Amino acid sequence: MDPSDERTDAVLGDHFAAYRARTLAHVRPPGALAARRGYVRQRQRRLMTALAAFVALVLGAAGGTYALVDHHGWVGPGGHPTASPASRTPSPGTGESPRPGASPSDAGTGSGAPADTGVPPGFQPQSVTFVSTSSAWLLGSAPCLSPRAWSRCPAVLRSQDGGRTWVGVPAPGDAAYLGDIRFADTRNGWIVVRGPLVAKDPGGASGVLYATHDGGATWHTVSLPGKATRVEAAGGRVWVLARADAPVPSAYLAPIGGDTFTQVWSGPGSGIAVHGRNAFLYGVGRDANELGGDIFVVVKDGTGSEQRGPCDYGHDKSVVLAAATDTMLVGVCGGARSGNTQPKQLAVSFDLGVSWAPIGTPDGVGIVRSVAATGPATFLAGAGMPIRVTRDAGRTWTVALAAPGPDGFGYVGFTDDTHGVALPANGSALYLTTDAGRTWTAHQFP
Amino acid sequence: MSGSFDEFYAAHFGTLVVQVHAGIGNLAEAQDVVQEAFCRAWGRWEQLTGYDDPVAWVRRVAWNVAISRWRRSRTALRYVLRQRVEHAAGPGPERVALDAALARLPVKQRRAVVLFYLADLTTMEIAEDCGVPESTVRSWLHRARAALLDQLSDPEEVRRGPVG
Repeated sequence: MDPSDERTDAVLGDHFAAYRARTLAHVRPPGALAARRGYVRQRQRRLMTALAAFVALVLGAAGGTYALVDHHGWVGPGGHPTASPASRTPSPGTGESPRPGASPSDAGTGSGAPADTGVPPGFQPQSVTFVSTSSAWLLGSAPCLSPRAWSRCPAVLRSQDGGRTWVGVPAPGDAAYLGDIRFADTRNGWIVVRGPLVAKDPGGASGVLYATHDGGATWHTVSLPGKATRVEAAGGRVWVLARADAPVPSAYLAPIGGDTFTQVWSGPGSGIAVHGRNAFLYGVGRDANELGGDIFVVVKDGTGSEQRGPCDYGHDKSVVLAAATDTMLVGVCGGARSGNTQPKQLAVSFDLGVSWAPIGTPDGVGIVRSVAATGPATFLAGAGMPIRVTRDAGRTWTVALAAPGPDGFGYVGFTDDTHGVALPANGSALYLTTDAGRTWTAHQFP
Repeated sequence: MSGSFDEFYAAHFGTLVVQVHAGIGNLAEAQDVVQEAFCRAWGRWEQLTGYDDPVAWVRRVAWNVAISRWRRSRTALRYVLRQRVEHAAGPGPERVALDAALARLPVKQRRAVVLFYLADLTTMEIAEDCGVPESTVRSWLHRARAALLDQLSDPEEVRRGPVG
């Protein structure tokens, strides 16, 4: 560099250094994660749970549990099983019928070990929760085993081997209901009852929140100012949406070991996604300024703030959200429906929803009900559509799992990047994957 | 895999925004453009982890997106309008002066200056990044320095030394 350039370089260097400092001061800090450390811990946990699952599987055949009618159907895209069905293995203790409709007063020992029973015949799953790759619970319903005024009873199943085998545990409530089950760990779980499963059945409840702190051995009702509609748990906390007489719902928060809920937000929004200690409320409606469209609220450290959501005008008739990491969100926005088609728009945010970048979308067939986002992939499930996946930020979409019926799927979720679960809307089976959704195992219940 | 991507994002987002901002002069747009580049990087993360310098890939994508949007001004305006309103304090006079001076440079000279002073690349690395001979990069920098100094300098500022 010639001498004049060197002098100029020194002056400009100072200008740019100051420029860099001043600009950085206005840049939104990215979401800093201890991701590498968490990733290593996760791998260690996976190794331990894999070892535990292997031991449980080896011992499980003599352990007094039912095996499912397990097709061992490694169902790839297109839904063609590649192995012959396995036969059902009867459980010892046949004749010990399950106890549908158990109330807290007559449920198990309360010592922390749920009173395990068999899977009730005719069980249909409705909601699933995994707290690890091995521990899971299913909420569903089954024909009542003893004469009741209602036709179906609620049923809860538990698995300790990643969903390969299930046992019945006490289920709260009387008549079967539509709802969600969520567990935060092996002891603390919740069920939200949104409404009766069979409208004409007496004994139906709605807006009830049940909690257990002993792994499902006993359940009790939790009082909230309003009717509970959604529950999610993560980061040592449980979040509940509830709607009282006011036109807008409220979000409530409690530590996972307790039943005292604190209101943290009140406003439009029908859905909730959580990751770590953050919650994201979403839905469609009118915001505080009476502007219609999608609703998006970030609740961080117990304080909510409404922000612009991922949906553009024209794709703001429905929205479903998933949190892939503590700061990464994927939003699926839907436009006006026409039969079984709905134009879709997907967007991803890496900064807790402050800004959104559009990514490629699949075709308009189907109505999205559920989205699952791992780091590398995004899965969509819904009515009238197979489960679709993109592994390249939306550039291409493929069928991950064919729908077993015209109703499609009601739910898809992942415990980590490789272990996932899907529930068809018709309650016919449970689908599990351990290879990031490339192949799925179908489990049907007796 | 998502963890390493998060770290990568956290480590480089801010500096890349500074560089793109210097190129296009709009902070909100720069943040959006860098966000878009990271979004594309996420889709190719497995590939990128095998590169010697994945940051350079993201920077190139961000720059290309920025230039592409800058040329399609109506599309750029829609993106800007969708961003949140910034309530941060406005830039000081020094940053405005440098923004204005950079805006007057031809795109190639501006890019070379940004890569040299804000990305701390050598002339050889800039030449590889831009796909031109190193002598061409030196020529761009020589002309850009002269133009910038002419725009920025007033006798008082030069005597004061470092700004800020």
